Amino acid sequence: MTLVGPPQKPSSEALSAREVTAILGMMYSAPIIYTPIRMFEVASTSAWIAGLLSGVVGAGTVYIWTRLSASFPRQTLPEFVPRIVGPYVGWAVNLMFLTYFVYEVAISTRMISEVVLQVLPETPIGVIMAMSLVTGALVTRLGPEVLGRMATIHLGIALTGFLFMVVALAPLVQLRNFQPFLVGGWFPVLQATTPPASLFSHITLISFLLPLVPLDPPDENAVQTRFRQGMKVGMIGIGISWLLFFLLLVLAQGVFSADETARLAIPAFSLARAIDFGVFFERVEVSLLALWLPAVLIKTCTFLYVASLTLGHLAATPSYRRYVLPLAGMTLPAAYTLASNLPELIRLVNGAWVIIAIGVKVLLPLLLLILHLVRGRVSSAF
Amino acid sequence: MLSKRQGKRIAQAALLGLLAALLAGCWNAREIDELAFIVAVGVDKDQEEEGLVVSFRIANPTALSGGDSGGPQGGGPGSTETTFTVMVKGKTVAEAVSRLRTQIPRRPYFSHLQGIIIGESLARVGIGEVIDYFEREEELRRGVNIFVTKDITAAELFDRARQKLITISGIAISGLLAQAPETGFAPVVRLGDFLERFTSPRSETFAPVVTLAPATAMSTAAVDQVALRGTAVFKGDKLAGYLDEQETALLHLIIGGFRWTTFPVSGGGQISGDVRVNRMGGSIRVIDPAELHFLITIQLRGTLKQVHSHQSIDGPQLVERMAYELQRMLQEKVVALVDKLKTWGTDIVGFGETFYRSHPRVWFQEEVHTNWPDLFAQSKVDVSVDCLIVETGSIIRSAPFPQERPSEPAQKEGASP
Repeated sequence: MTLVGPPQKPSSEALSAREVTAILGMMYSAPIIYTPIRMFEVASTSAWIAGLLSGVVGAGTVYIWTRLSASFPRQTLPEFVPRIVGPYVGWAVNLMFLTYFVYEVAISTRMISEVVLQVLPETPIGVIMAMSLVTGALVTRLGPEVLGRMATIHLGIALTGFLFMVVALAPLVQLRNFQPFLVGGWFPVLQATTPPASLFSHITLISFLLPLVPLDPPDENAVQTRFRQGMKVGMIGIGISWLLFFLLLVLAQGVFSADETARLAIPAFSLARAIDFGVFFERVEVSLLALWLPAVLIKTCTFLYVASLTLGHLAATPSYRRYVLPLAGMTLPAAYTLASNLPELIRLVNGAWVIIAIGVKVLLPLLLLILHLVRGRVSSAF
Repeated sequence: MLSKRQGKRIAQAALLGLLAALLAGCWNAREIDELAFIVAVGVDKDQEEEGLVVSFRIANPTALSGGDSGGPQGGGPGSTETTFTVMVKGKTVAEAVSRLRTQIPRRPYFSHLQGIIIGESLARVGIGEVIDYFEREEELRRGVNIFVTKDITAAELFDRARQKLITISGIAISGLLAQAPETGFAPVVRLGDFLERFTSPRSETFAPVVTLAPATAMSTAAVDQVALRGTAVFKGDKLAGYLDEQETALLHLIIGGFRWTTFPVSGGGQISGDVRVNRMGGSIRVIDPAELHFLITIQLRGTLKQVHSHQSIDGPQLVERMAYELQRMLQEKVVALVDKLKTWGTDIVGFGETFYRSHPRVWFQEEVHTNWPDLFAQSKVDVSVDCLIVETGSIIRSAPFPQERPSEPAQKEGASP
């Protein structure tokens, strides 16, 4: 039985470092939707401190994943996992990652549906989910280079849009809404840090995307070069995502107050609805969808791509493309049954899913990194 | 016979055509000629049976598109009136909205709502569940203005209002609110602001009062002009009482939210006049948390608008004296306002919020928050007003008043006037 598949990197799937950065910059799409609710529930007026800390945790996760990926500069996650833990355990670990990726796609799809429902409340949720999955699957089949180009174009639009949002909402921000802070001590703040931190651990994707970036020139110090490249790409990409998330968190707290934001279904959407320039420029919430939907779609497609790649590797087949549509089809019922209503989805995303995400995307890679380093030390000692 | 490539192209084109059909957004398609634009909603307690009377002020697109906005308003559709009213009874607002759909041939559309008007009778028994409906409604925005009626019901206001200056809504609430910050006599409260205070455990909420007034001072004049008259103060979700226009202006001095307001000033029998002020700054501070001792500071910049009389002083002395008397008077009146709010046990000014922000641990540890209305009633509040009158309008000295003019030489007897 062959448990390790052949390398799957056709030359047409090469990405530039800038494109990888742009894809990672799209990860702001997940935390801005429901995460602030939990943060304000737990940390109240100290939520902005939790937002700051989540950036620090995100940077730590970038280091773990970059260090791990750079150790195998030309291999993706499903390729190097068996090299660390052996073929059988590696297959099981890859299966765990695959399950996680599929559910990540399902959750993103459900999020898209719930947000679009705010604008199109009468459209059946299943239709929105099916349409986003079909679109996502078609894009994914075109390969990561298409995602890279989409992300590069959209990043500029998103940054401009968020800048506009900050300018438009700044007059509504009340500084008193940021006080008092640390009333309940540091524990609630640390607790509130976990939901965004788990979402910034989407840096997992770097272990699939970085090997697609050509090493120029193909040097002997590939590990070092890849590490430097990964840290730069990861820090900037996740840094952009964190910055956009933090801006939105601060705006929500400043405009609505902590108590009010914790009651809103989608704080980001309410913020966009609050934009009003002299009763002249208003009703611009649809523009938030224009900023958010492409980003979340790119994120969904990227996870669908890595899920397909991992499945292709587990099945020891040369191409991932044949798995994209079946996986998207499997995701639809998963997205539909994740939660029976919006409050349940919010509870899932900010509760159990946070624990699972931290386990799979922070603790598991940390364990793999430690194992790899220990094995390296042991083998070099002999 | 089509080649494989041609077949693929045709299939792709068919798929594109199918996807293009989806772009129409069928489920949520709302044709403009199928919508009934609700411009204002009034909610009253039903006096005859359990439930609510919900009044909808609906735009009449025929009149609006024709540009004919003249004539009286408030009648039925199909004429030149820009709006008309439909009243529906229901156990809840949601039920009333559903019933409305059985009475008008178009789908009610709330996205252009200008105001929610709560009837006094309903406000006195509680508005929690009504507010919940409006907060959940996806079409509504947090910028919608909220009002409470006084002495009339919302239904009566909709029915009897015949505003002289025609407005789109027919009841002029948006136009009146646009003027409100320049008088300070009524607060401008949007649904979002209302909810922020309503849901806070540390403060109470308030809303402007809307009522009907006569257009002229004639006793026979019809009472049909919509007017803003002070502030409705809530305790929890129930109406606690009303502040009149002057008290509302004082409230604005403490919390801001106005551009100018005018106060009459008099003192020592020497001066009397009107001063228009704008707020340059101010704060509420906790002086002593153990004693619940607060200090309100207010900085004002004033313009002398009118002198009623002056006996011996003028010029800079008059201005300084006016400022002094205004400070003294405002300090007394703000204290009286706070005392009134204390008797109602409703903290709309935000003393609890200030206390929480400056002494959060005391707020929680001593369980101040659970007894705040009672503690607020026992609190001590000092007021410091600092007023500087810097403008005197187009003149620097009033013309001599008749009684102050030098006496004319006595006219000769028998001379005709």
